[in-house]
Amino acid sequence: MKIRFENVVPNPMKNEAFSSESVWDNICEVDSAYSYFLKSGSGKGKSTFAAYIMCLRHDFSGLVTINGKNQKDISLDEWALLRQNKIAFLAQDMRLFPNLNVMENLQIKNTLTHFKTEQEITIMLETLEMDHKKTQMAGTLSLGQQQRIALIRSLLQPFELLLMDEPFSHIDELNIKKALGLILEACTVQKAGYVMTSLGHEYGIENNKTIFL
Amino acid sequence: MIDRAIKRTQKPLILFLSMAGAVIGLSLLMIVTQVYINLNIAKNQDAGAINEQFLVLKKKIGTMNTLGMSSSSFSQDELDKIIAQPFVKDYAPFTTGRNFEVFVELSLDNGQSGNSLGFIESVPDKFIDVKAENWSWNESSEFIPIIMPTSFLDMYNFGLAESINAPKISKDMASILALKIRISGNNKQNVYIGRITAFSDRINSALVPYSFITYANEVYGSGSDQQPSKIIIATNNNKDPRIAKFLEENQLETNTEQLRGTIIEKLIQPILTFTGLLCVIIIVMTILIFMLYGEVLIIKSKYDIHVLSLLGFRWKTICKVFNLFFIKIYSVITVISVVIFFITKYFLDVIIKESLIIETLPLISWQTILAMILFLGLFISINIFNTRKQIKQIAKGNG
Repeated sequence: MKIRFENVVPNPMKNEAFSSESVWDNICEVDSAYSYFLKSGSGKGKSTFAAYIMCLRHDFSGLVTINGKNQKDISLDEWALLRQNKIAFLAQDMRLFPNLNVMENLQIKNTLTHFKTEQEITIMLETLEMDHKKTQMAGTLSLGQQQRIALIRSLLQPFELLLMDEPFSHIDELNIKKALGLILEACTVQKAGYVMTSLGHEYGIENNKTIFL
Repeated sequence: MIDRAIKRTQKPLILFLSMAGAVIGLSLLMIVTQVYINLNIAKNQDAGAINEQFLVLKKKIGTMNTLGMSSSSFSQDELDKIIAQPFVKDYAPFTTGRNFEVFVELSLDNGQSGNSLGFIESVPDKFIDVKAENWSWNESSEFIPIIMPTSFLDMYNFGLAESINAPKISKDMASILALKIRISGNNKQNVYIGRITAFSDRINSALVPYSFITYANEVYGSGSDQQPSKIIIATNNNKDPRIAKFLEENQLETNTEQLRGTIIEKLIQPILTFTGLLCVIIIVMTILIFMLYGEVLIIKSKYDIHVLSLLGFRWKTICKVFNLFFIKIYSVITVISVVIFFITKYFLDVIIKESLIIETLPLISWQTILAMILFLGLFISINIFNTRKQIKQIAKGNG
């Protein structure tokens, strides 16, 4: 899967000057054969970049294509399929259903994809030390706990590209390593690439490409 | 699970009020339609020959008639016009005497006697409501059978007889009285014996057999045939509102004291029209309220719709959750409205049956069902259309 940004400039940043390395107002291709770190200072549009890939925002000039197709020409139904089978997304603000419990929040995705068994989901919860919270309402979890649930949920589907917007911002170092373990394993199994923003510390990951904003 | 994910933060009061509005709108619509249909049935009911009813039509007598400036008889055009009316099943003009004088003299055994100028008329037998004995006449007949109106006997018994302290006369007694009837005209004169053989409730006139009036006109009559001033018509239903309307428009009168149609025309129709109008207003307002309610519901669930879409749920799947919710609401509205409709209809039917003398009314007419389906169809399609539009917007990320 190839996602290409051609001279994309977010409307809120249209009067700014960008460096020659920047994604904005440039040509940039994300290839799911590779993995990427997204680097920038705060307020340079990391979440915006993710939102543009996921077609959640349209406030930009330029062109975004997915496998050569203009993203704006992709229908809602096609997007539903892309989000089910091709692109997994972990949003910065988790986006769980506060009035569903932990297991329901995971099952709702899994009923759509039938990708994991309940047992496999439980093992993932155990890995991130969340199995004792299975029946707790998601709205009552701490941010760190929510982030771990959202991470597991993003892995309950087949994907070619895993897009993560600040996935570990609320997680402690020990759990980051475990989470990273899950992510890398899933990507290896599925031969998928990932885009991860703001890791700060690279935790020994090598050979990743870097996208600058 | 999807519908639990969408936390529908409902406002129960708004939902209750909009549902109440819809129930009022729908049940009123059904009732108005049904009443309208029932009244039409009442108007057009074909009760058949058993219930055939009769009306005697005559022109209203005004000052112009008295002064001789306007004829109280029907012209041929006027007759044709009456006969052509759809409510006229059969008709016959009254045959009247042609310019001869009828003088009646009655002598009782006790010596009292009375006399008066009179008149005789005739209508075909089938229009007469009583069976009179010996209802025929030829030149060798002993007497002329006469049918008098019941009201005439009543007037004598309860009016004249009481005030002059004369004996009352029963129907049987009346039939043995011999009336001396002197007919004069065309320079001829003769006295006949007449006997009252029956009393009619329908026809307010002194009737003799057709053969006698023909004979009398031939012998004592002069001048050309007179146009009739009275006509009797047979209808299926005297209270057909078209009759009252026609009579009013053409300055005609009848002996029936109350025409059923008048009530319908003058009172019920405007009320029905008004209620129908009210119905439309209520329906439009209810639709608006429901549109707003649906929009608020979706806006409140915007986050959940957005996340579902982000997880890869199709927008149609999300729509279904809302549509299902609305269908439940509409089912409740329909059930309550239908119950209200049948209860109201039961009471209205009692009134209609009693006041308009109708045996059976349909349980529910197809027009009512059609009105209900149209109402629900309008509501549901507007709601589905709105829901789709909004959810697509949110799924696109524009919501």
